[in-house]
Amino acid sequence: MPEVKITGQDSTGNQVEQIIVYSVTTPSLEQMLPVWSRDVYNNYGICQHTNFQTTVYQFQNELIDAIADTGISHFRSMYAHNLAKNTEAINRARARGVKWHATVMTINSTEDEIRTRINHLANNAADLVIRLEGINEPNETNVWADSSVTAVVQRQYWMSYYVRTNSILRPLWLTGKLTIGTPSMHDIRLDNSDGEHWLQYANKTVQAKANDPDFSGAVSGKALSDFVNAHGYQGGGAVDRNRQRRVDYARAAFGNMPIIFSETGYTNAMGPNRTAAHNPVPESISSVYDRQIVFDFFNAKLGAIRYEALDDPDPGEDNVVESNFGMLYEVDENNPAAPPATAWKEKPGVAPLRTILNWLKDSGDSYTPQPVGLKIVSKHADIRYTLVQRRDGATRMYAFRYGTIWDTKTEQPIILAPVNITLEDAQGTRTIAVGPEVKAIDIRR
Amino acid sequence: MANPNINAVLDKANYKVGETMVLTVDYSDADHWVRTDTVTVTGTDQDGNPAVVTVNTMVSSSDQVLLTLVDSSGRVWTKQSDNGSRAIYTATA
Repeated sequence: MPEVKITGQDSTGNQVEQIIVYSVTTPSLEQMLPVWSRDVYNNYGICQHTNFQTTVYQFQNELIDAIADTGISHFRSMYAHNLAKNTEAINRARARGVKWHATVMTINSTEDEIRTRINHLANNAADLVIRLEGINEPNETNVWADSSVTAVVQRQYWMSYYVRTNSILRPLWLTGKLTIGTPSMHDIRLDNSDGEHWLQYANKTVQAKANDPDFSGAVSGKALSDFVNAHGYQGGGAVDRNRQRRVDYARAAFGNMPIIFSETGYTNAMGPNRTAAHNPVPESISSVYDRQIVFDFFNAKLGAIRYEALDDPDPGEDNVVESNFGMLYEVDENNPAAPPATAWKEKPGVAPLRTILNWLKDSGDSYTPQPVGLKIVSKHADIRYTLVQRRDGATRMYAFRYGTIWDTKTEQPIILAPVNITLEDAQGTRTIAVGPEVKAIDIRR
Repeated sequence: MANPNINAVLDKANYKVGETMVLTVDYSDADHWVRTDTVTVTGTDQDGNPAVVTVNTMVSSSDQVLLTLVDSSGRVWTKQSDNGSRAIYTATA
């Protein structure tokens, strides 16, 4: 305990001392429980196309390097065992420690093709693939024919069956290291059906095989899924624009099953003659939203896989909406075969995203965070935050001011000025201004 | 020559962070004295009117008490008042 020593001394040097001991106590702070930073890190992935073999996609090694160098934990792509670049992607992903969220079939896939592909995956990439997704956007029309629904559920069953009966994959599935997800519904078409497409899939049944170890008789699309693959684009709006509606649709069909948005994000197709689809935003705007996705989806207990890693070649004025979602772009889109080292550039959001992901990345399979003394004294209503901790005890709050920062009608920025959050931790009270850019605030002990 | 006397008291034994701490130090020294004298001057003007002026004077010995405070935590104690026998200091917990 501290003490104060008082000395009285006269002019001749005679002196006397008195010591008084006292104590100073820090008022007991509210104990807040962070989440493990790695859980946030693992929650975020990016789409790419290992099954595209030409133009910029001939450079699978470089593409996976770019994903790894940004610190992204996993990518979503078709696992196409019969294509040459598939092996290149397997080897590079393994070398760089990047995991794979895989689609494996289309509406035209036969049972033999699905079995062959699953077996190939088991024998060649069981250590890489963490999730399987059903057919990508099978609801390609607003009116989904019953025969189409049956075909989708039938293929879901075949995929599930050959995973669950594979000697390599079954133990992974039983322990949750490999999970099987639903097909992913086209978001606008799903909206147009008011969620009916999910109900049609979830409730449709097919007959289980006689030797199925887990199912017998009629088995539903819902029963064949461990999690929901949703698609949800913001249309140039706030990070959660249109999201809750799609979550509600999924909840109505699948209850509390985990949801992963296996496609989400923003296109930068700001060209004057762009195709009619998602409203675009400039790169400076998507840069901000991209970082918000990492935390806002995690906070909502939703997985997030950003679409996508690399712009497709779109020479000219970026008019093709689908081609401009990339994290990277090509300097000369007329020359898609140009070497990536000089031809690919990062959009402005990549560097700050890398900084965040590299902090969040932590070693080990699990960690139980410890509570920290932290009180949120006051906070502007727009501030959203995530409290994270690494195994070394370092604890951070990542915070941003939620809102819309681009007017898609006038195509002008909407300025959201920073607002305050006042925090009290073990070393005192601070007031910090937080704007739309995700801000890292170290919590002191 | 006698040692000085001091008696220091904190207003509390336990403080919360940020609270004001008040330290009162009463002090004296047997060799230190203060004497107050009154001098009266009487005069008369040219018309014979009397005038009286009274002045108080204070005389003290040179043997005053010098107080110093040292806090092990590094806190700064600020003297708020001192009347020659009681000094008041404050610091922030």
